[in-house]
Amino acid sequence: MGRSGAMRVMIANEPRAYREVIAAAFQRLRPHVEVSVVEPVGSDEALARLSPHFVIWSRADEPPSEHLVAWVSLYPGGRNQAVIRLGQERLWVADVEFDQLLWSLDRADQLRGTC
Amino acid sequence: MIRVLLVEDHTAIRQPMAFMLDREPDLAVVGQAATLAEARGLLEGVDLAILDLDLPDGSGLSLIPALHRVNPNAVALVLTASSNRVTTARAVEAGAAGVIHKSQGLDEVISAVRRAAAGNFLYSPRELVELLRVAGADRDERRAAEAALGRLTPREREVLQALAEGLNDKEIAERLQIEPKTVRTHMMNLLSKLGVDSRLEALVFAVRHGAVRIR
Repeated sequence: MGRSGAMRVMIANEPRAYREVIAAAFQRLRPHVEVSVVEPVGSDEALARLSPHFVIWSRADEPPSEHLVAWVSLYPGGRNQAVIRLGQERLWVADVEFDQLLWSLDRADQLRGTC
Repeated sequence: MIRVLLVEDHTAIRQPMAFMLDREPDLAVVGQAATLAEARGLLEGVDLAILDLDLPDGSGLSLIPALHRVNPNAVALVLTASSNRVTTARAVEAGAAGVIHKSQGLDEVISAVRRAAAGNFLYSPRELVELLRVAGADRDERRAAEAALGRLTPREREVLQALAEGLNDKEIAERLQIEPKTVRTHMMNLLSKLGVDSRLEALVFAVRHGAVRIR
């Protein structure tokens, strides 16, 4: 399939202040990426509309998206941890750092070219 | 330049928040901490502290007196996911200039930082008076609850804990090796001491005031 167009990122984690700071920092540090901030309540509809390659949300289940190559379940159930899924690889991270989210984003962009 | 200390235990949020605040021309994040213990060593030279309410080693509110001792003009803003008015009232009573709800957007957070640093409360005088009234009522309620719980005997506390675990009179009696009618006597006494009319009310009271553990 390979790469086509910009990488699409959807940020839909709770609460709003959290998703907006992550999105803003992504946009600042990776300006070539298309970042969409989505209300969690509307995330299913947004997934169908945006068809993102990379998703961050608070849910533990995998986002259903045709072009998805990686996703992060950030602070699921309010716990200070994250599950990062990159292709077939799954990582559990306690007290995840922003650099790890950024690394996941970059890795997803690489994976997108190999899918 | 407004020198900001950011105290938030979710590292993946604190780091980009610090990064974005630093991008603002009039803000400089001079410290970041994930715990109260870390934050206590970073209060020097801070104009404004953004304090998460729920930190691993306690409430962010407990930092406010230390912040004001180091710099009486420093301002505290509390960051919380709680929309409970009592939470806001307690923060204001503790000396916070305001509460930033986590459902607010980044622009609103930055705006609140600027307003608070300029010496403005985030509330009108009327709202402040009402919040202080709420905080006072909450404090009175907690004191009354502590006093009521303090009147319970150790055995009545055991009965209350067993009730919280879903045990019936027979099961409580077996656990405590007493007669079921003695359980009922303890129950009547503890309802009376807590000033409630039912076991359910006693349970709610005990949970709200941390007197029992729900497993």
